[in-house]
Amino acid sequence: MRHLLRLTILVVSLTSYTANADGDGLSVFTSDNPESNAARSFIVVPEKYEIPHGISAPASQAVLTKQAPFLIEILDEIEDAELVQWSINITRNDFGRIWVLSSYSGKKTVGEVNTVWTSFKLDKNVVDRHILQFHPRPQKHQSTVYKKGKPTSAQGVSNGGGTKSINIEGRNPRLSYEIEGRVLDASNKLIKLYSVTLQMDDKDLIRQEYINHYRIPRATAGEAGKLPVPTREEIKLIPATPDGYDGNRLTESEYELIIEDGAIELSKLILDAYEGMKKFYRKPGNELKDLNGEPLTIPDSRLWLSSGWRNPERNEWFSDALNGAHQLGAALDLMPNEIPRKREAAIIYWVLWNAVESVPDQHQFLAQLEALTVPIRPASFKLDIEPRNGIPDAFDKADHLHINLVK
Amino acid sequence: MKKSLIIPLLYLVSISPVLALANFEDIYGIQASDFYNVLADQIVSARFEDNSLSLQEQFKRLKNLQLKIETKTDEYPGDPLVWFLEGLNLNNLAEIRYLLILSQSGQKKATADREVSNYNIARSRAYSNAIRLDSKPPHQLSSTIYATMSYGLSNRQKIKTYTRELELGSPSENESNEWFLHWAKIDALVHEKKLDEAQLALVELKTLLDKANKADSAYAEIVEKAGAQIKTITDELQKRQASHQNSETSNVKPDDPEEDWSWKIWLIVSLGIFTFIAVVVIALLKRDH
Repeated sequence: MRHLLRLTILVVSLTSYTANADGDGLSVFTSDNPESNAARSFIVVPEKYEIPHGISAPASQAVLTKQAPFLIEILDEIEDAELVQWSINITRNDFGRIWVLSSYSGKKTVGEVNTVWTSFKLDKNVVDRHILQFHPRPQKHQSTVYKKGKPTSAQGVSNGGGTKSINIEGRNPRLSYEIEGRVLDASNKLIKLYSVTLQMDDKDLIRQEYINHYRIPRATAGEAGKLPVPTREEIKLIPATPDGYDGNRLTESEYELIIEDGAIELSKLILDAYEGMKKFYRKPGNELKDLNGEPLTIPDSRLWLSSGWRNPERNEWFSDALNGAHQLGAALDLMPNEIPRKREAAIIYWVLWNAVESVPDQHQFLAQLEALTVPIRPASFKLDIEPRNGIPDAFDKADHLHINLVK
Repeated sequence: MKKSLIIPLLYLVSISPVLALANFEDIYGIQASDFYNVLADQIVSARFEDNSLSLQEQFKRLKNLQLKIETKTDEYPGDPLVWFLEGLNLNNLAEIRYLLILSQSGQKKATADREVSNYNIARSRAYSNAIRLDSKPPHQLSSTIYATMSYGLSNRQKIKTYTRELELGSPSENESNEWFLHWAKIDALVHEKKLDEAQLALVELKTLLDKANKADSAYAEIVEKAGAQIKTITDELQKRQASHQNSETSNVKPDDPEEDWSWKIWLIVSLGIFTFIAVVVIALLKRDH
């Protein structure tokens, strides 16, 4: 009987106020970008930066600057006798600091994971009590320098990997704010509850990664971060692996999205050249000969697409190339679909390299053979040392061919 | 574009990041001991072309570095990193000597060629020492070092370098290289006929792909190919074993005509001899009587 009474009191207390569905009864502004605003998503641009905007071409808003503050307004009329109390649940302590711009103040409670900011109870004398205005504080790159994050020794890596080191999904933490506006009567009883969640969507998460890497200095010598931020329109669904290739789609990113700015066309160009070169060498009299003059048998190997677009966090995990072209959607890494570090793979690299050289209009792209993240040294094209097998060391040691459009 | 143009162009675009990285720690991912870190940087820098020096001058510089690193291997014979540095410098010497050969001919070329081979042998020995010394904790060498050493070693040594490289995490720039390296390891094990280990390596590859949520990705093809390789060689070995057993069995068949005849011949000859001796003995006895 006592339980039933408790339940009745609970039900009565729950239904004694109007709880609006997410965003109902509120006007919400989150972003200067209409599409982000519609999704209640946002990006956070530091005040001091003017970041180029648009990857394939400058966007209509060519530069990104600090965004307008979030603005949440209760649309229903509030009686003079009623009180208003706002709260913001910042879902991650490490990223979600805020800066309240409304005329009123409040207090902050820091939990283990989240922080809740609660305004004081606002009476009719607070003229802007129906509006909550605040800025998210900028996220920061998690170390002060840019450094490849993937550990490759027992000593591990210090200052490497950006925010990846705290996020196993290989992308930025998703920033979100849960906001509640409570209308209370004179006896502090809740009458109406408004709520809305502001949360970065995947497109803005990707854009935020570019923002976080802008102007970040490198751990080693070289230019600081300078890549433009993609527009939302430039971020698209991932197309299938290009015809004729084995391996991955054009990205291995954890996002189901991609920036593609010519990589598909480039893949077609290189594939045509490669298949043509294989046919050429198979014709009697055209054989590819090793450094000792012996004809080589060309394996019937397909190319494996190993990498295309990388989101900046993923790029930082795998590579020291802070401003690398893989983040611009116009670069590919290719390798033979063969057992690596063996003769067949080396021959395919040789054929592929010669195929790339045979493409007319070389100025439109840059190709380089790479091993262990650095370009193969020019002397290696002449050497046959390690191993001595009649094939230039450059092709024995290559672990991928990097190719990107020059813009 | 002609080859003569593309190589210098490649050089121009590639050399800047390389030179920016030309110190030991940035390239190999670990710090060299204070006792020889300057020497480590000098050996690494020597790997990157310095146009201001002729090949002869570069060779001379490497020879000097070789004397210095040999002093260090004498001083720290239990340090795998010093042995790696010695191997790296020997490889540099082999490279420059090889480039010097390109302009030579006849007897001179043959002598120089032998020198290159000797440097290669010494390099492999130094790398083998490094691998052996690093096989027990505390491990020092990075996966980039293991990847660098894996070329030009025996298949058995390669298995060790691949294993360690995979344990430490591949230094390459994309995931594909790491998954493909599992395949290289399985292949090397298959060639050594270490089929149980190859099978274990295959299971490990599958488990890791599962964990990475990539069991159904393009990498499943590698698992399939590596599995097929193991199966082919296992079947082949079983077939060979079976035919060997068959031939052994056939050697002891009771109805083997050759076996039968030899036994019969032996019996006939023995009986003949016995009869002959008996006849002689009886004849002698009769004569005495």
